[in-house]
Order: sequence, then structure tokens, then C-alpha cells
Amino acid sequence: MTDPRVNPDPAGNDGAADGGPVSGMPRWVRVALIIVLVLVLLFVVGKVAGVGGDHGPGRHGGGGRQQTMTMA
Amino acid sequence: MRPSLRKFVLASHLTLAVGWIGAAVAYLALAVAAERSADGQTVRGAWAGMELIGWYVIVPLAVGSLLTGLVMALGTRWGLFRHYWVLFSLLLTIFSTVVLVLHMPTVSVMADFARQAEGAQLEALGGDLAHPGIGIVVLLVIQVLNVYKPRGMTAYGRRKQREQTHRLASAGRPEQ
Repeated sequence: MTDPRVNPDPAGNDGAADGGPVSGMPRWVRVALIIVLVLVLLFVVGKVAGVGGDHGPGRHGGGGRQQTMTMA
Repeated sequence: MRPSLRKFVLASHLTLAVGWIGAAVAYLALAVAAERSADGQTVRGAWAGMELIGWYVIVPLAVGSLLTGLVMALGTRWGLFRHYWVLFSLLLTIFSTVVLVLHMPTVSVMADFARQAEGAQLEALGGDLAHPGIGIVVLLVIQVLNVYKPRGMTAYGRRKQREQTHRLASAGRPEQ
């Protein structure tokens, strides 16, 4: 049995469970965008606050621990 | 795209994408070993393993997943920007690949340090848990999107669909 959703129906049955087309942004997209926005804000705040340490190549200190590593 | 070619690309994409998840889990296992072990040899070996898996397995799988995903989207009616689940999958895959490629030089630096460090310095190195942990969650989100394909067309997709409908109607052919 072919999965009708393998290729979308060009007549436009990409809609709600009752078969009607979904206009505008679906709820799951709005929720996902809010989650992404919150995560981005948390990341920015963390960077400003110095959480996670220097975030770039050459960073030393596994798991975010700040250590100065010298090789004698 | 011809059905046989589409199936080949789909099979390739699934293999690469699921392989990426598996490789990330293997990387995480090494990271946990490096984090928890008090044995210098284990920490050194784990970091060497993470570097090898990262560069020679995970990066190629990530790039391959991204490229085959693009081919799948552009070669079928799903398109790249018409459906929200495709758009989200694309953006999350690009994000994951970029973060991975930017992070791997740090892993190489840490692996080099692990090769030369001894004693307390080596034991204090710890593991690399955050990146693979978060990466696996993101990959699983992409996987769920690709399996469930939640409904929702973008404005661009709805416009394209209307254009196609009008084209079919004006050509006098019944809609398929």
C-alpha cells in the first residue's frame, strides 16, 4: 500500500485532520519557533554571562570547566 | 525525478541520516568514558577515538545527509520551502552541520593535548558531553519531523500550489 504522504497531493490535502487546508502558520510551527527563540536567548545570555567558557577553537577545559592547561 | 532514482536517493539519505545519529551516539559513549574515567590511558584513547570518529565518520555523514536531503527535496513535489517540516529539517540540519564543523577543531586540540598530557592534567581533561548530547536531540527532532511530516504549507508553498492548480485547470486536464 502506497503512503499518500510519500508525495504530497498536488490538489492540496496538506491540511487539518478534517481534510480542510490549513491556512496560516500551524500551531506546531509557532510552538517550535518560540522554543527556538527561548533557546537562542538562553545561549546569548549564557555567552554574555560567560557560562560554558570560551566557545571557539582552542578552547581548553572539558565540560565547560575553565582551566589553564600548560604542558611542562 | 524517476521513481528508481528517487528510491536510490531516499535510501542513501536514510542511511546517511540514521548513520549520523548512530555515530553521534558512539561519540557520546567515548565522551562519557573520558568524563568518568580516572585512568589516563582511557581518557587519552577516548579523545583519540572522538577525533577520529568526528572527522572521518560524523562530518562526512552530516554533509552527505544535508546534500541528499537537498536532492530529495528539490527532486520531489515536497520542494525545499513549501512545507514547514521540510524547511525546519533543512534549517536544523544546516545548523547541526555548521556547529559540528566549527567544533571539530576544538576536539582535535583536546585530543592533541590528551596525547601529551600526563597525570592530573590528563584526568582533569574530562569529556565532550554537551555537543554530542544536544546534537543527538536535534537529530532526533529532525528524524521525527521526517517520519511524521506534520502538516503545514508555507505561504510560498500555498502560492506554488495555487499556480499549479490553475495551470492544470487551464490545460483542461483533470487534477491527479
